[in-house]
Amino acid sequence: MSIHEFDAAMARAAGRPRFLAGPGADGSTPDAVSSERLALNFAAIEAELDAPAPGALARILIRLGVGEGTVPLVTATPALRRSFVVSVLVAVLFALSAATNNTAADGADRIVVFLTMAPLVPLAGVALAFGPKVDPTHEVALAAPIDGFRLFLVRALTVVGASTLVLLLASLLVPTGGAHRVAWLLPSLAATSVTMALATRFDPRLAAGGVAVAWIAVVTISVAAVDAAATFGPTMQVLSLFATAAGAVGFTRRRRRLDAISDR
Amino acid sequence: MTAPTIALHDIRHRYGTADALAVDRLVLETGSTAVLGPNGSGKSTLLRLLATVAEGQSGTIRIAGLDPAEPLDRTAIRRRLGYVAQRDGLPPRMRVEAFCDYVGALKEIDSARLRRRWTRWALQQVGLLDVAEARIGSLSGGMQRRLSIAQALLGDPTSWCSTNRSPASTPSSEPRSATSSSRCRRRPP
Repeated sequence: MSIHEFDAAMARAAGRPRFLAGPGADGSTPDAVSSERLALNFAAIEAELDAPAPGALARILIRLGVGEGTVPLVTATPALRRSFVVSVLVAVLFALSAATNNTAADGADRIVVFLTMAPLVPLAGVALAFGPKVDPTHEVALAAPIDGFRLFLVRALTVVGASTLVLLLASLLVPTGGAHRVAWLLPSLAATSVTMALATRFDPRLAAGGVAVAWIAVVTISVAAVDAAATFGPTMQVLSLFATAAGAVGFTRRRRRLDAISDR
Repeated sequence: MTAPTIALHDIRHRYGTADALAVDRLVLETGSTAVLGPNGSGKSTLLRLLATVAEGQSGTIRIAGLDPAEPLDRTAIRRRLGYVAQRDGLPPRMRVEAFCDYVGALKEIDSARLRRRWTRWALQQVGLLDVAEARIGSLSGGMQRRLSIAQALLGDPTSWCSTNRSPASTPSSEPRSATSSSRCRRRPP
């Protein structure tokens, strides 16, 4: 089928005038040709032909069913990329450290260090995921109709998801502890959730720093008072669940504060 | 008589203890408006309030009858707005086309295909289509300024707010800011 035949067929099907000049295969001539419409169509075709291939991360996200409107928020945000890289890099270094330091003598101490530090890894990413100090496009994003809550959530979930995956692998490399090795998971969610809630009022870096200091203080005092097993035991896990829920409620209730810069 | 496009009453804005802006009454009709003044006179604060980027501290603002303090109204205003920030807000390592694609997503253009068409159209308007694949950091200052304008064109805004100094339209060496609000409808790509 020639392009003229295609044009004529599409014109018949759509009940519109033909776009292309010159006689068609049936000898018919086009009706009034809109040069403007024609230019727009060619521009659209050109845009598709010149479209850059999506990156590896974008392809994975699309395969996972992430919407077309969300993919650029994850892949194209420089602030997110930085936080993503920092968070995953810290997680990888942490995993390597856990895997290589496997002497039996200090195994108990190492599991405490691992369980204490692991929840802090995603915080680094969340701290660098949002805000005027870390995102050069922050003001442009504020002036856009997108919900600041959604933008922050998408970035934070991406960072937390990636770093949690690496940390889970790191947990398998820790030489001792059994199932206790994943006792960092709920405290990690709690720390992230509380940080996001606090970030609706404070700079995310300050919020993450405050949560990190509070977490280390709680663990240090608890380990000194009881022992490591009790510190990361059922009580800690239940409290972490409550803290996660409280953080999520606080973050959701104060979501509007992410939509504009408050100079109060 | 129709409502003015922009109306401000009793606006007071402070940064800490410093007064940044005091406006008793300001009404702007459809058209272009330039805001001139010395450094620190509150131009940028005014324009950031009009762009809904900064949260108002006191007084009332109405933009096309909408209240930026109300979340739904604020979103409606932003859907009509093209905004060029005072600091261009350009990530230097990002590629030009990817940046426009990202801003398109921020402007709720959910279809990737439609974002590409808008991107190409906006870059063409400012003469940057040839450097669509370039990293933003490799562009000249003037080209970066044009890219800031291109991202503001995405999504066919009917209002325009720029807190950028525009060398081409600045007769003196004094920094200035300009905003315009217009009804000129652009044709989608």
